[in-house]
Amino acid sequence: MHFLFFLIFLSLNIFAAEKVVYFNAWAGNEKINQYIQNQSAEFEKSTGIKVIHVKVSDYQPVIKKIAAEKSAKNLSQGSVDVLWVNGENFAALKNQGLLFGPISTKVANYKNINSEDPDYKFDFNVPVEGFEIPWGKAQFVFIWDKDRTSSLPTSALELLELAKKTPGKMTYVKPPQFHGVTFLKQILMDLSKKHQEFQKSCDNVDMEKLSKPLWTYLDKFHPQLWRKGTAFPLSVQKMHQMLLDKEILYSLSFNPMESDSLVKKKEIPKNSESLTFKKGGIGNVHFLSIPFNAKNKDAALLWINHLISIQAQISKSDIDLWGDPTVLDIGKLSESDRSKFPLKVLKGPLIPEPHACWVKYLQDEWLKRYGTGTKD
Amino acid sequence: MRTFSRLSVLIIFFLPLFASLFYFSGSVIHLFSDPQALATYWTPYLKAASLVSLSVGVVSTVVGVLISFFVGYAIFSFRNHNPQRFISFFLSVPHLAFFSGVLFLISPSGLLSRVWSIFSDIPFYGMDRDPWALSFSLTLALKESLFLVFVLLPSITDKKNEPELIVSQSFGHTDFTYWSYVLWPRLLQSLRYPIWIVIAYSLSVVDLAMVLAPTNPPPFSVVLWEFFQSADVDNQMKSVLGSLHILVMLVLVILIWELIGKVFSFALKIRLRWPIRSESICFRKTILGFYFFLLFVPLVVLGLWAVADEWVFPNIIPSSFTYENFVYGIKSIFSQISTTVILAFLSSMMATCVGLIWLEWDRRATKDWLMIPILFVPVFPIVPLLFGFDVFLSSSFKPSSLVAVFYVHLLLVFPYVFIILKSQFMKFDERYKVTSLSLGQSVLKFFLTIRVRMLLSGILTAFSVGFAVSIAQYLPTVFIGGGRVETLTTQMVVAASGENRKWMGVFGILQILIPAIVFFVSGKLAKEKV
Repeated sequence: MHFLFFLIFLSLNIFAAEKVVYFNAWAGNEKINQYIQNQSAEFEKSTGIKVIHVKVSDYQPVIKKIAAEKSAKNLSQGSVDVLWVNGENFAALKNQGLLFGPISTKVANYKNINSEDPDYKFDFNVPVEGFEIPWGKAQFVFIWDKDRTSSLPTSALELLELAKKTPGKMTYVKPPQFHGVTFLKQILMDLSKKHQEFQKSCDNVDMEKLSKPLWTYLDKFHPQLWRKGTAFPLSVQKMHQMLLDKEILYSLSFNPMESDSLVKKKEIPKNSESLTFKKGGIGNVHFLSIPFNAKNKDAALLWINHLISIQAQISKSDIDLWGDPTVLDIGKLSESDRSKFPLKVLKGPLIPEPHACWVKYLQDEWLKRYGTGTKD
Repeated sequence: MRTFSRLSVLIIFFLPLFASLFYFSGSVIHLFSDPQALATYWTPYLKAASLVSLSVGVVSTVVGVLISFFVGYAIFSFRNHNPQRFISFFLSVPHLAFFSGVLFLISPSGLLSRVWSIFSDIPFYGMDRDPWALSFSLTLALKESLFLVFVLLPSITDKKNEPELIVSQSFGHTDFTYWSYVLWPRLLQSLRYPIWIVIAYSLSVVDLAMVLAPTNPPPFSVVLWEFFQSADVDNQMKSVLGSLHILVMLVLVILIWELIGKVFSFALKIRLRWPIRSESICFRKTILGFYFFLLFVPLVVLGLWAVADEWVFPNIIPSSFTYENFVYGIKSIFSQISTTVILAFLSSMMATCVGLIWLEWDRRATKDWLMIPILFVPVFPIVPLLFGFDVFLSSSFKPSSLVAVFYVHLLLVFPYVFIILKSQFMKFDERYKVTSLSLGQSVLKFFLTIRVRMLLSGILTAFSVGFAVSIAQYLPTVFIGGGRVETLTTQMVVAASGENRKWMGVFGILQILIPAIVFFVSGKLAKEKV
């Protein structure tokens, strides 16, 4: 009897074995999921290849899985075909030799991207060398409810001043979640005058000394926070909600355009505005890559090619669909295509990401210092 | 047939169980060859997280047992009413949906806060995620008390008219005195292992911790889960050590609990009794009413969020309603819903069939010592078990992720189904079987025409409980499926991690409806056939 059930299961699996691209991508944003779904439908229509969005909330297990496949000598039947990735996760994958490439020469639409742009040549200061293809840009911004804060802080110190005047009304996402770590970087880079030092690999710098301004700042900042820093929201979506519920004064985002669409969906107060510090906001690029053992590399390349096509990038920059700044070099496009992209998307200057090795340091150090809560 | 029945139980239950334990202990032994990993393991962060978990374990267990004491009494004293249907309904509500409802009630922008804002300008602080994990422990206690009451229910109804009660009444004692000093101590014996299950669950649960538990530091189970997910080599070691750690905590909490029990029974022995005044009917009604009220309100709030179009703080009810969320929600996760239903249906169905065949054809199945491995699965912390199971699968026949998830659900569902089936078999008068066999009928014929028909309602209950157990699985699905198998529950956790109230509402209601429908239909079926 139960062999029958196993047979049913097996047959379910066989039916799924048509030409498929497994696309492992962060799925914390409904709009982005919808965008991926729409694009994969278009892609399937034109090529007949089915894209399955494997929804990722944390990249660590994915890297672990690919590494495990490598040590189990699984060299061509990998479970991931295309991976949306950047920063320290890219560094980990590249260092362990888990990526297929260089792929930049194998993607036709790469011609529309300015390959000399330093933002695309280095990912968190790790050389890209063609192992990933840029997909979109991001800039770290604060989303303020202007009805409740009249003069918006434009530096870390002004933020601290405001926090002292409005105790319990600020917070940030708990590290190691990446919005939380980026908040730490944003504060650190705003306080520090030695930006050059952060571009170097961590073996060559005194991390303790360089990060000291951040910890002295947080020691003063935390007692002023929501629930006095004994609890933190676990995602940026939660912060949007808290902003809507007037629990806090600002939320965070990695997309300067996101606030407009959140207002439209009534998920944050209607008078909200994205703003960076005067010196700028941490900015980075997010990429697409192919694991070394992807089962279906040709189809994976086609999918990446589709995602950086002009049409796909136009819809990606549409606020109603995603609202993510494009990676295409607008100058290389025809006039009619050019006009379809929104004009100004970034708020203020971009501050480059510190080297990828800072991520783990900041995560560990934060947990050590603040992970036990400050119950007093 | 007997060989077949043994073989099938071996395949679906004993083999995976012992293989998992074998591989887990293998990696533990491997670990001790690396003393350096041991040295760097213990940090202040871990210590703080362990304290949170210990407190959750003790508080939720003690309060859960207290609640079941009072509720059990109320049920006992209502001679003519049996709230079984309510109890089974609330039992079938998945924890995650219930916890989400509680969150929508007590969070700073929850319903309580909205009501509070009518009367006062002082902002409501919010009771969720308090650093002492009280809201988490108490919600867990409330939900787990249902399980304890469910276990007690048959024995309570049996004892409503027992002669001892008349003795007690002749001395002029009230029902409450009788319940507290005579019946409860006896029933507590049968609650021993269920309480251990409650303790193990409270220590190792991860998905619920995301909803209500403190975040900084979180309970230990959350930290352990982070170790498991990490690609960092140091953390691989830590995850094995952490599995041992959670095992030690389990033993510790069980010891604390048993100690509390000993102190109480000692107090009774030296006749340290608190006087009990005569109680009124009002008191019992209040207990039951309040209990069901507490269980019901979170579900109402959850339902409100599922159909709310716009619900701005501090409005008490949504300003407009819509059913579009439901339509869109069901459409967008239709394949996950069907995976959930198929997994739950097949695993519970197979567990029920195998359990029945085993009980019918193998006399050993009812042996007491067999309960040790059977109970081992729900009592053992889930993370080490899954860890071993994962190694077992990847070093043996490497099934696809869907089959692997099905297999682990089967392993976890089987004990619950089996325990219920066994209790049904114990009640069954074996003389029916002797008569049938004497009349020259085969065991198979007796099984199909007499046993299954007579026990139909119990069998269907076992199936429905197994179904509900499978629906609620989060960690096993994610861990063994490598994130590739998505079910309603995994989608619910995604929604909960972003605290998206709309989707939590919609998915939560679906999570409640599916097992409730199964309970309802199986109840109907049982009535029709008999």
